[in-house]
Amino acid sequence: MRCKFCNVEVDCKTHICPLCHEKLTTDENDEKLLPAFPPKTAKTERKKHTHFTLTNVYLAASTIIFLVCIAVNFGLHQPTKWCWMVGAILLYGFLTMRNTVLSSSSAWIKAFWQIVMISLIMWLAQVVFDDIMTDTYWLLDLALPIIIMLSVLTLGIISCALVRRNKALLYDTLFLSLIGFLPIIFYAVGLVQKVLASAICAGFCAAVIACVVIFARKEIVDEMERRLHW
Amino acid sequence: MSEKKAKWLRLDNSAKIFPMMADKQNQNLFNIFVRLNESVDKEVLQRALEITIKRFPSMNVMLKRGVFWFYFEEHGGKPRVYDADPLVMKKISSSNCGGFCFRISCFENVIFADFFHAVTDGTGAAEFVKSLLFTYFTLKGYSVDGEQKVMTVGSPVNPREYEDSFLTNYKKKKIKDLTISSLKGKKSYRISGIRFDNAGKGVINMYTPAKQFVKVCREHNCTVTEMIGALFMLSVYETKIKPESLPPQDIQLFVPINLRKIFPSVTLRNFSLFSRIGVTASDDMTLESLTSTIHECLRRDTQKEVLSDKISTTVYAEKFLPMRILPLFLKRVIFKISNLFFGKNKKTATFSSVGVVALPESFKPYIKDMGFGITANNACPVTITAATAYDTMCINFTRTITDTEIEKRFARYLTDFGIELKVTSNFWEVDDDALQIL
Ligand SMILES: [Zn+2]
Repeated sequence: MRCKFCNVEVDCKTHICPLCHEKLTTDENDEKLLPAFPPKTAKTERKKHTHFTLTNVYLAASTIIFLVCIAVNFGLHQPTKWCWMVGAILLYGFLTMRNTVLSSSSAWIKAFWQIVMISLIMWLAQVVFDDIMTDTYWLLDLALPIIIMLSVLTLGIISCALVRRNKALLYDTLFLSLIGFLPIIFYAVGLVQKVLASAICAGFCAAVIACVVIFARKEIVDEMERRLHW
Repeated sequence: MSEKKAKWLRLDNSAKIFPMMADKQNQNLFNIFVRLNESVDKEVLQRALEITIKRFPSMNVMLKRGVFWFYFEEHGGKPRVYDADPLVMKKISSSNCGGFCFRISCFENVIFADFFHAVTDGTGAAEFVKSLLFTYFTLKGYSVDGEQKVMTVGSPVNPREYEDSFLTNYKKKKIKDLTISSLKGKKSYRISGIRFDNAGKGVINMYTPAKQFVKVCREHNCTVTEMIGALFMLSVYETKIKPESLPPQDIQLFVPINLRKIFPSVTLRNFSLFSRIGVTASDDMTLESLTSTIHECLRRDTQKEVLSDKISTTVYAEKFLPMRILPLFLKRVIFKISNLFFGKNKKTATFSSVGVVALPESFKPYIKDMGFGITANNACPVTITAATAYDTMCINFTRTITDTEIEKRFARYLTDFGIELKVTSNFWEVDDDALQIL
């Protein structure tokens, strides 16, 4: 096929000139021509305009739920403002989806954000339900060490299960375990009153670190070398 | 990567910047497309890919995030051959390419190989594609011979193939002796036009007999690179700058230079720097004046001492202590901010002249033609690449704007010289409905 306006041969299956878009005159040899690129389909076009992603649907639904809760909570003049808890949990769901499920960050960073988010929700619960929960010390004395221990335990179990496939998880567990000493530091500076849970948490994390170092020293050194190269 | 050592690689000096610059839509990509004389057998190509990748340890990697830098870790899995996506040079992410930094896909008789620049440059990619073709043809039962031009699967892997040649060619210099200014650009004209939605790109390939082109270049006393660069600059001026009667504008081309031709290196990773070719666009520009300007710029920028200085500067920047100890996420923030303020409007277009791809004669019956393309983005809406395989030169235009005026003007120059042109396109600028009806 030739474009008489551009004076060029068109070397792919088409009816218009790639340069000037004028209609081409065809002859019988053109049957053999193949398209040079996969055709632009309606599907490729449609993909651009998709607004119904999982994230958007979740955001829309949770905004509606949250607004309804505010209306009910404030409309009925209820003394306990539980709607803020609903909002926090919906936000937690969104952040978990974005930063834990769909994120490509390291496992220990994901776990760290989970600890931070769950702790904040607990703190908010304390603020919202302060008429029922009069003692505020449970947050740092009990909740934080338990959350950290559970996170380390979860990550530890996952890394043991997947150790053959992904040795990097051991490094993540090691890193996360370091956070386990935070409650005992809080105790040292006087933020924590009852030491028991904090001490157990520190002991547990120390044991995890010891296990990782004893059983996977080589893997840890390798992983440190590649991740910390500078 | 020896068996005993941990299987990972640092990114080479120029690769370090690419993952940091990547955002949701833009990524430094380039591709190689090979049109065969018959339809591609996807299953055979899949087997060929699985075999070939073992010969290229520097390609068999996945990009990982460290505390201070990105790094490559050996990929345990198998790469897949995909059906070519209508979206040209679609972003390569860990999810859509199985964690590899390249994508092999096919459509009808075309094999597309897209590469993320962090993993290799054009030369390294071409070696990989040649080896893949060799394996593919062998599996198909064709009698092909590497003719010492192909890194065949059985050939031994030279550890120098995955060295960082910037480091091996780096000479320690004092900061005051370095020419940081040579890496900075001037404000230049940015090609205007209506952009495609999303990541859409338009591609036009022009195939021309290399001998005819070389003959015309001889008549004008210039090289192929100089001729294409000059004609491109003229086309930009006549279709974009002149009609809008803009005040004097600088046209600046960003030209990659293959350092392997100047420094001893067999690396398959990045080993190229760039030259900037700039002219102030005006009616006084002629083909002769432009070719001589390009000649002068390239002569200046390909001198060994100049390049050695540039290598030292880039390596110095990488080894600069505050830079090294900055955590990766802060590095990314700084790069993005500095790019926002200083990176814009520093080039009009990227122009890469690959030259002749050394393909074995025994491949000739099976290959129709071959070309290279570089991704375009908002900062650089048009790229142009020229490569020759056997007797056919492929000039590729990739753009993010809808109109094809520059290409049309460029083609007119060539046909006026009496050069035969064969043109193909992905017709991204044409509506779906219009394509169906016509
Ligand atoms: Zn035409």
